[in-house]
Amino acid sequence: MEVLSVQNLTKSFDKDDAAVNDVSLAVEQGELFALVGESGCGKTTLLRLVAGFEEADRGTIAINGDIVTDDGYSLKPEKRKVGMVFQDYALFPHYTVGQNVAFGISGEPASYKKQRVKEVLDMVGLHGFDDRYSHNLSGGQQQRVALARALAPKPKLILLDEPFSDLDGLLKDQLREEVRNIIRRAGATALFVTHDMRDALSSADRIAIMRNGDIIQTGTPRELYDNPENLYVANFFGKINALQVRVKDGCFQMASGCIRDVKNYGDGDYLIGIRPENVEILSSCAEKCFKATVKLAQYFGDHQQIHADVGEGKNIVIHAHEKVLFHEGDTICLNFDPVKVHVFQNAEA
Amino acid sequence: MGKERLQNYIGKYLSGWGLTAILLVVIIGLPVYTLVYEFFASPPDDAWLHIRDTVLTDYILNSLGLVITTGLLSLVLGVSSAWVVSVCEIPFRKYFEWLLILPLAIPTYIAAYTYAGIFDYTGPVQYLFERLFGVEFMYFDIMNFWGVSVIIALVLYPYVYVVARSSFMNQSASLLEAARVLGSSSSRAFFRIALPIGRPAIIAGLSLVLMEVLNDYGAVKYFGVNTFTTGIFRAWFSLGSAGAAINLSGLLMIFIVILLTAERLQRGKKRIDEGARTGRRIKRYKLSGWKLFAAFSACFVPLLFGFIIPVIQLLFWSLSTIRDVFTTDFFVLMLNSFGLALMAAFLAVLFALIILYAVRIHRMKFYSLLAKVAPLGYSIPGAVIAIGIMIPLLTFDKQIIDFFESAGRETPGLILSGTLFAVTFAYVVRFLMVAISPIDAAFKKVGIELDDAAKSLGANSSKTLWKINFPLVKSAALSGFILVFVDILKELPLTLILKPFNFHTLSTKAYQLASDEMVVESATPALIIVLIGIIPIIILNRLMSNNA
Ligand SMILES: Nc1ncnc2c1ncn2[C@@H]1O[C@H](COP(=O)(O)OP(=O)(O)O)[C@@H](O)[C@H]1O
Ligand SMILES: [Mg+2]
Repeated sequence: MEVLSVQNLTKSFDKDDAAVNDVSLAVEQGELFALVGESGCGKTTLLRLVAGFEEADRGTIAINGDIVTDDGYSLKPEKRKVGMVFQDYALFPHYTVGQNVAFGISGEPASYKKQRVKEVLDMVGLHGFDDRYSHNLSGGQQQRVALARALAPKPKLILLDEPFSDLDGLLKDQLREEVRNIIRRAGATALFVTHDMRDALSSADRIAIMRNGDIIQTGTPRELYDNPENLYVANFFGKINALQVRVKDGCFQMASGCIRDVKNYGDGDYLIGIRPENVEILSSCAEKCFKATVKLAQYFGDHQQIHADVGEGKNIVIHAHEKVLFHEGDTICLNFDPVKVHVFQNAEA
Repeated sequence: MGKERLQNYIGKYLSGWGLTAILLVVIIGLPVYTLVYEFFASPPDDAWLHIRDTVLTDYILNSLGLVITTGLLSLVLGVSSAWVVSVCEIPFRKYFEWLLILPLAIPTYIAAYTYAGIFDYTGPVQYLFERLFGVEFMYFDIMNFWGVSVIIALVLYPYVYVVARSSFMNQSASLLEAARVLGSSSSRAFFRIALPIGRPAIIAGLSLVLMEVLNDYGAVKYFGVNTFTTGIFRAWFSLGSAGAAINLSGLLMIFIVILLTAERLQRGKKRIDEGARTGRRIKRYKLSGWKLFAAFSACFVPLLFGFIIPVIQLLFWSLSTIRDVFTTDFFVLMLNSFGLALMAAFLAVLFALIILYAVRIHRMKFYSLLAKVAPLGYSIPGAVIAIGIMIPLLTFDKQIIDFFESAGRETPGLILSGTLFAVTFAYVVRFLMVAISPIDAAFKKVGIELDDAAKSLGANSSKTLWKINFPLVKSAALSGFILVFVDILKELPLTLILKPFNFHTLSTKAYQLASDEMVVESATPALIIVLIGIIPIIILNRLMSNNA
């Protein structure tokens, strides 16, 4: 069942281009859904629309099958029963951890409240923190309080805005794992936004990629990695070389050689993306390779990063794991496995 | 869903809070509507023509003259003392820093008649001279324009001092030190760097002085200097002409609008607080000889004449009449003053909270504008507000009485005008700003996402205000409450016009006694006003040092 269903949602602020532009997405029961995009692409706005803090210009939002936003109608945020974890946590500074967590549990007897607060704090690993104040807690702890507070009223859907952006290093890795487990254990459905693909890859069941208010592609991490719709999506998984090439006579035509078109794309112009680690340096040049000149070689211990000119002024970045060191001016022979190349039909840079 | 949709649509622009805020602002505007309407609508009457042809020039010249003389004097006193405490090392410097604000606790009218008493034929100056030199002191008449200018400046210069001090202290040490390394003398550094940088803030402080000068009635009246304010009183009470009072008020407001506009323009786009502090404090000049004496005097003279002398005189008078003071009448007086001030201060804080919370809920330009318009009464002199409220209330009461008379019933007397309702309302109009500014600053510190978080946890607007916002702005609301309370206690012109017949507060009683040649008897209520007036100074000083 769909816990969240968003259809053709559009929202513009005073400017001409919409912050959220005709967005549709669906989040299934129990799913962890990540929304990934660069800063300013409209992620927070989309979350705030779902939470009811902003009013949509057009489109509908349904939570658990109930329409909460529809053409001029917008259910108040306090009636939506959606949990939200804010980017800077928004813990109430005058309340203790326990009071923060209890805030959203209403209409229940005091004994239940107390028990539920304990339960949720245990769940996030903050047993016995009830009487502390948030300003005495570390960033990671504050975040877990925010999560506990959002989970306490047992919302159908929980929204998280950049949940890991203020944390760093090891803490961030641990917390990603932990948050994922907590949400799973709570049986909640979550929609979270981030600008860092690693956050999404390590926690999300499905990912939607956003750009300038549009959703470009939705899928499982695997699907997105294997079949990115365009370079923008592919870029989120790390550096990728973009080359404009022509396929002719069953061959990718490079300035200095040809690579066989084993996948049979057929003749035409293509934009292809090759990851630096998928470019192979051959010890000698065979028929199925192309030549390049090293422009810059940097040694990083486990690999060398080589910037090479492949002719016609086009540059390519290679991560070489060979023992031999390369130098500026060297001529090298390159090859790539056509299977590992992303070919974008819509030749969009 | 049709009805729900309509509700939803309306809810975007309006809520219980929004509607209440709009109503409050509309009601608060009453004196302005009266003023504007009557100013343009009512034809000139004989009283106005008489005033116009005889004393109007006097009013204009005296008001303008006072603005210039007190303005210049306050600038000199405020800026020089601020410069000394900021960059010089003098004895008791730390104490001067806050002592120099104390004169603000003395209302202008109290300072005026206290000095009048000091220089009187029977006063201490005269007495000392006779004792010391055995001759009669050449009588020194201070009861004129120049006398009142000096006295007003002596108690109002702290408005300039406070902003100048914070500007000088915030200016980075390196800036001034750079000037010194480049060979500037200290005075050159002052005139070429510190003063130009501090100018916008200092002028803003000066405009507060001038607003107070134009608001003053007691001091100028006592010294026989006729200004717009005394003119309004004369038109209203002696000539019984609402039209003339309105016309004078209108002219005074035009004058004030010009002043405030000029202040705005000089400020430009610069922010008032330069905030360019770079950690390091200025290394203070070590002074000696006549320079030290001059620097010390720059701080001690304003304090001595602005606070110490008048307070000692008041204490002296008060002690000499202490037996006659603590009568039931006096306690009634205290009760009146405190009751009224508590009531109005509570309402002002309540209104401020409602209006500012509506801004927070709706997050629209319209509501922010509302919160900017609501406190404008602060720049309208008390006498003008009083007239603007009195006229519609009198009209209302007259309608009611006419109605009862035509029905052949017994008339109910005055219902709104000349009652405590009118005074309380006028206090709120005049002092709402004093409640709004600290609360607004506190609200701005509470992140809006806290409200969103509360909403996402199912709290409606009222619960969010009560559980989240109010606890976090509580201490600011308390400061606002105290500040309004004290301002009301000191207030004179508005209270004189609107108070019920035979009803007195500490300020009106003190003023009445002093006007009736009973300056000595007036000292105790005056002293209470002054002592209570010290409280907000301590609060403000603490607020400022917290910000620094
Ligand atoms: N309250 C607002 N008023 C005006 N513009 C806004 C507001 N909130 C966001 N925007 C604009 O909408 C766009 C998307 O912002 P946001 O949703 O915050 O992006 P993200 O969270 O992806 O960084 C930005 O261009 C931003 O400037
Ligand atoms: Mg964001």
